[in-house]
Amino acid sequence: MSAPHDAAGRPHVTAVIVAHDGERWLPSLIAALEASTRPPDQVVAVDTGSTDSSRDLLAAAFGADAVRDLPRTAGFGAAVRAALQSVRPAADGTDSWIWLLHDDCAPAPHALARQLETATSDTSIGVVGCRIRAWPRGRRLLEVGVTITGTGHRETGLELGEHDQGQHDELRDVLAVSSAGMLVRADLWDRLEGFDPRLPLFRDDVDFGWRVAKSGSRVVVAPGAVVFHAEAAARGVRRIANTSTNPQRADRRAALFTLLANCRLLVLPFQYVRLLVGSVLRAIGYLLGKLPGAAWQELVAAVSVLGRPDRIAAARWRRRALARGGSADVRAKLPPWWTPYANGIDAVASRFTSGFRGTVPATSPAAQLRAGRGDATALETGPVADEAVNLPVGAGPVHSTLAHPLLSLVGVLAVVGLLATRGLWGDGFLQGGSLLPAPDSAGQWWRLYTETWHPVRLGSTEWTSPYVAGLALAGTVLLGKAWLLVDAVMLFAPVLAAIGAYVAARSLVQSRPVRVWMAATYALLPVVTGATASGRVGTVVATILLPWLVPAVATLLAPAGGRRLGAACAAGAVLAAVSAFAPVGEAMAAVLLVAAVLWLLVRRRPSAIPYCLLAVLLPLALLLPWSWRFLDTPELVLTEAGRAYGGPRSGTDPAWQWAFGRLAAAGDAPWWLTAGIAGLAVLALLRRDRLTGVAGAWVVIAVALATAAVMSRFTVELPGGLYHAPVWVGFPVIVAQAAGVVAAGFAADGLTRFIAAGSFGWRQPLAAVATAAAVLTTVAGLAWWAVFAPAGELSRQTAVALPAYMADAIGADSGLRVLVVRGNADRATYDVVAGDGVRLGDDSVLPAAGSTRVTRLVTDLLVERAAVAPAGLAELGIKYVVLPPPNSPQLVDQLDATPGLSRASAGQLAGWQIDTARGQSGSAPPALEPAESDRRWQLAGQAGLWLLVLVLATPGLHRREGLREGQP
Amino acid sequence: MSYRSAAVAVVAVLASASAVTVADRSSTTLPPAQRLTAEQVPPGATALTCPPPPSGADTVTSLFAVSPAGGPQSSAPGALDLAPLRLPPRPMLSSVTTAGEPLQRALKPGTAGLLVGASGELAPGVSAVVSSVLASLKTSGLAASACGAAANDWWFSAVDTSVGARSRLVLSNPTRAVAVVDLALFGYNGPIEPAGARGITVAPFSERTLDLSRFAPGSDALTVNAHASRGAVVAAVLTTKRRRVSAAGSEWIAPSAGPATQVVINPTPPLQAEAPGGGRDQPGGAADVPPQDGKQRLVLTNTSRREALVHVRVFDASGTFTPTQLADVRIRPGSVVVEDLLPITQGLAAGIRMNSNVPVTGAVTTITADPTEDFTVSTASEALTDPAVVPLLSDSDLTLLLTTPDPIGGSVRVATFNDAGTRLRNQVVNVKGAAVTVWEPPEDTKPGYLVLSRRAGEAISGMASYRSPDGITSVPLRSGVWSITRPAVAPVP
Repeated sequence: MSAPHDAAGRPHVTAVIVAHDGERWLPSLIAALEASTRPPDQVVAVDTGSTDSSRDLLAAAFGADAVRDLPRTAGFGAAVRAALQSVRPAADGTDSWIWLLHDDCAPAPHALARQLETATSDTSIGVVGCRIRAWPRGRRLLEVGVTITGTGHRETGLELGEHDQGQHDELRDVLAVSSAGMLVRADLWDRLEGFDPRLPLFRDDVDFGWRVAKSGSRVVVAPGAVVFHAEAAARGVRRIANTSTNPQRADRRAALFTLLANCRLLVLPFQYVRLLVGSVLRAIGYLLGKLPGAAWQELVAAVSVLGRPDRIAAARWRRRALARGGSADVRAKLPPWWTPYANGIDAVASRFTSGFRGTVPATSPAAQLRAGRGDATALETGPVADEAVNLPVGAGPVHSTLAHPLLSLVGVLAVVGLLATRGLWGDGFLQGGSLLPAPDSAGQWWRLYTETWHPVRLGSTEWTSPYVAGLALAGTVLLGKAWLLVDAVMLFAPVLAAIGAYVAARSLVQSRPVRVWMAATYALLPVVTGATASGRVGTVVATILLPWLVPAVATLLAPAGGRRLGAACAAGAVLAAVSAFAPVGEAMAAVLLVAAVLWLLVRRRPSAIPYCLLAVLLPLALLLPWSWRFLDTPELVLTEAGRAYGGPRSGTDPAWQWAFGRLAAAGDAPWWLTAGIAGLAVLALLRRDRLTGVAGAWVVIAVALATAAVMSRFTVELPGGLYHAPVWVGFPVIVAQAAGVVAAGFAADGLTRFIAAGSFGWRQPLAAVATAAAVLTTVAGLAWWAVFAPAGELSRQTAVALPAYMADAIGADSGLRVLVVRGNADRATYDVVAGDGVRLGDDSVLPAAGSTRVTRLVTDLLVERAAVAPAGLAELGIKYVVLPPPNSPQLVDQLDATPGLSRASAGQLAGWQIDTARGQSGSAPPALEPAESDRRWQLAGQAGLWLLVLVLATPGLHRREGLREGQP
Repeated sequence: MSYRSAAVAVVAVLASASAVTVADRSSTTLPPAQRLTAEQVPPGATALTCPPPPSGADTVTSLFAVSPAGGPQSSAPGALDLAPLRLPPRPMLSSVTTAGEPLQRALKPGTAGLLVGASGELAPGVSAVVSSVLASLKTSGLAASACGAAANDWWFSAVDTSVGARSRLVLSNPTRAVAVVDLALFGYNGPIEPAGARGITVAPFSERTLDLSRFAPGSDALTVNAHASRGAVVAAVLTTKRRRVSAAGSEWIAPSAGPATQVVINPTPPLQAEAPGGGRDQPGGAADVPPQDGKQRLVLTNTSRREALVHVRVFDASGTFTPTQLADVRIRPGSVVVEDLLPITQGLAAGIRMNSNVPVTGAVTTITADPTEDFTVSTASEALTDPAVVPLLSDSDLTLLLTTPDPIGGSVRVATFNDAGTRLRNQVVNVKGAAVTVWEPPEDTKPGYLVLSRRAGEAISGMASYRSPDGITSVPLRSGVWSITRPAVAPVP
């Protein structure tokens, strides 16, 4: 122990050093103290059971008498208390100060002097801190005072990687300062009893500062005072031994305790609830991030603190006894309540945008710095120069956007899309062909999916197709605007498809231009094939989702093990989504599974086979119970989302045009426009070094075209039972085209090197021609789309034109319906309108054919002038009969004369109200009663299974284990 | 190069080509689309409503109904029932179950209207006629009316509400729903809009009698349109006349076809019974028979809002001619014009053919004193499409007055049945084109009925005129409902 150095009027400073396995940093600390312009008057060190030479270093520097020993489990506060017990008191009348130092910190030479200057400038100052900068001589700021958020997070208020340029070099009042370099008035320390022993390591400084502030003293950061801190414990460089519990639990427990022990009494109940809910949410987040251990620690910490209100009460009572001054002093030093949420959004956004910034390698410290945004731990700069770390990473947002190939492609497609769909904007709902109008809100899709009885036409108890749930989810994300979702999908399908296609291409080829070409060409497939113009919503959505299968499948089939379970779950989830819209996707996947199994056996990678099997079988489980219907009705695989529709040209074009992506659909491009894809896929076979991938693509082509050939053998009966139409083979043909694009992409990847490696011959001209053809195909497709803007069957119309009071009546009562009849006395068609009519999604629950009972009643209505027919219609809940214009005057007169019908409209549209003699209100047919209980359990089970699969599919969160010295 | 990959690629290419080739060659045959085709089916049930018998202690009313045999085969057994027009349950007054067997019943005066219902195999072609002999100080004459099916639009011309005449409109509702009727009246001075003529409700299975004199008194040529804005009704107008203190005849004014631009008014019976085939210039025609007391008046009504210019042509047994006195008639909007036909027709059987620039309607009133003062009204009716039934009323002489606008002419087959429904004879009657064909059954024809079937020619129409010592009456020939159009109905795709 060094002799106290008291000088009259000069503050007496006792430095307390706490060491714990700190031999790595102690020499720097000792040197810093020796170089200090104002050395402490007394130095006391405490070694808490170090296993290295820390104690010896301290003894050598300050004398054996100056070193105290404590158990390894002793906390920082306990160590300081023990050290101060052996301190000789200062002379009377002398200000005594305690200077706390960690073994991994090194104060700047003028640090203590500046702190003392500040401390003595105002008697209200009780604690003086320093600017904490990175070890060993970094300019990056770690802390300039600290506060705590409402969720317990330690908040420094600094930007990540903020460089110390003197911007904070001023006297700052803060809530707390780091205990590394903390200068505390000794009497204040004694009065407040130092650090709370219930906070052995974490938040002890924050709690102390809070108590200081509540006692009426100020906590400030001194200008010009700098301490360099390695933060070894926080960064995990040094194993924490002074707490027997899990560090995460200890940290969280300390945060909760600090908040509850120090917050105002008025907000204590709110804080209790907030912290409880927040802990649960954090635990859920950890579970989703596949960190169940962390979730458990979070919950245990919450229970251990929140479950012991007695301890909180005792701590608050003690603090109240020590406090002096109002809590208003503290509130100004606490961050706004929304700070933690803003930080969370910032962190998510940062993770998202970091994926688009390709200017910095992912392994660079700067990239990791950005990736670790929001993490309180600091980074070792290691041997990397400070300047490299602190340089701005990435260009501005505009430059980044324009330079990024995907963003540029999306921009181009969006502009072309706006131009191409110019004729389809306006009021009303987009509909036509196979596309039914969207419902008024996504909530109706939710109701359709969760209800067992559907008030569509006469009512239906059919199982809703799971694609409705997909639409409901996506529509909910768009704030419930179902029309917006349908418009976005149908009008901007190429934009959405391009995103997935580019992501898929990244896992297949290296060349960026090839990726762009693949994505652009694939994106145009829904348009050039006429799928969008025919309203084939199932094919369009399946096309958008399909590319997201590729990265997962690539992982499954890769030689290295990788995350096969996660990839299988990801593939299964995407395949389930695709199959929900186009069930034939599952059938093709089953066939391709056989090919994949054979390939894996040949390649001697049988370990991947179970995962491939899982990927193909998972959709059947995820789509239960709807997928169960395939056992009873296999022909369901021939259907897809949307209305069964024949199309004006269906079946008229020869099948060989499938090879060019043509389906005799409305609004499709000429077959020769994209014939280049087929030609390039054939030419790809000449690339011997990529033959494996090309062959794989051709296997997919063969399976897809064979599937289309099988499907074309069947016909589908259109609703009404009058017409049959060929089965729509759009999705298999698009899959074949996509595989052709992939084959061409394989061949184009690295083509330059391949050509250059050989002597000049036929390859070079052929490559040039192929490249030109590839570019021309895509550009021509874009130009055709933009110029001709084919609307096909699509148009924008208002909903069923019914008189307002009829629409209101059937909209308010799900049991009421309107019979809409069109035709004349010889030939007529009818529709039963319920709610807002048949909308997208209702097609999955509509009965296969019209009701014979209703057909008979309508026929009787148009023939007989008896009250039988209207009464029979009333039994089915039909309240009104409408003849929209142009209507037959003969029919109008006939219905006018029909007993039981009262004229209920004027003008062009003729409407009647059925006088229900029985007085029934149109309740649901008794045979179709909803049975909710079974449905709820099934839906809950399905949702749980999806959640599990998605959790397994997504990459998990990784807890930072800390960085070893010198490791970036 | 991996030979395995090459082999796989070759196989895949060949498989792709094969798939497309096979699909191209084996085109799937689509099932033929089911076309929506309406079909003609026999009616399953027919309901006719007969007007209530006229009141008067000496009035004798009888009903004749029959469902002719030989109609479309129906597997369902049927019946022809007679019941009063009132809410169910209602008593069955009479019933037959054999096609061709007539149902006849005497009706008490002042009773309610009647429902003639046919079902099953008896539904096709059913026809019913109510005939009354009115004999009292206040009323006289012979009046017959066909029982009709409910409809929502009825037209009556030549309705008399002048002094001494009384016209009553009977609205019968044979359905379960309330009917609401609006009346439109047309007179000499244009449309008449009296209070209470709109929104006349007729309860289910009930009738309502309206005195037209209350709505439009003092008109001897009123045209009445009864339109059911809700439900359907059967309408009938009974006109009784008095000359000074004596009864001057009664008639159920037959409903006429709705206004049209081309109208054919059926031939009116001659003022006196004359030998068949008598025409103006034929033996036994007008030149040889001195005209008797009587009148023949043409009542024309312009129901539109524009002035009508009507070109009138008269046809009788000799053919069609344009009367110089009545070539073109101008009628103000919504007005009635009456022209005297007697100088033109000379009291012979004659019909009227009109062409107009706007829809018009018309009728011919024949007032005769042979054998007793009575009157009858000939109206425009629809052409025969299916067999029509004409009862042979006892104590009355039947004269069929047939016509066709087709200059080629046509023919009808007349089958005679007795009271038991036994066919007695078949005859073919040639109908002269653009002229009047008068046909009377043989003298020895016993009571029963005739079934007229169009055999050749287009648009054959006519009247059945009955003449007895009690008076004269006419009933237009009306096809029975032998089939109905059952539309082809399908749910919207």
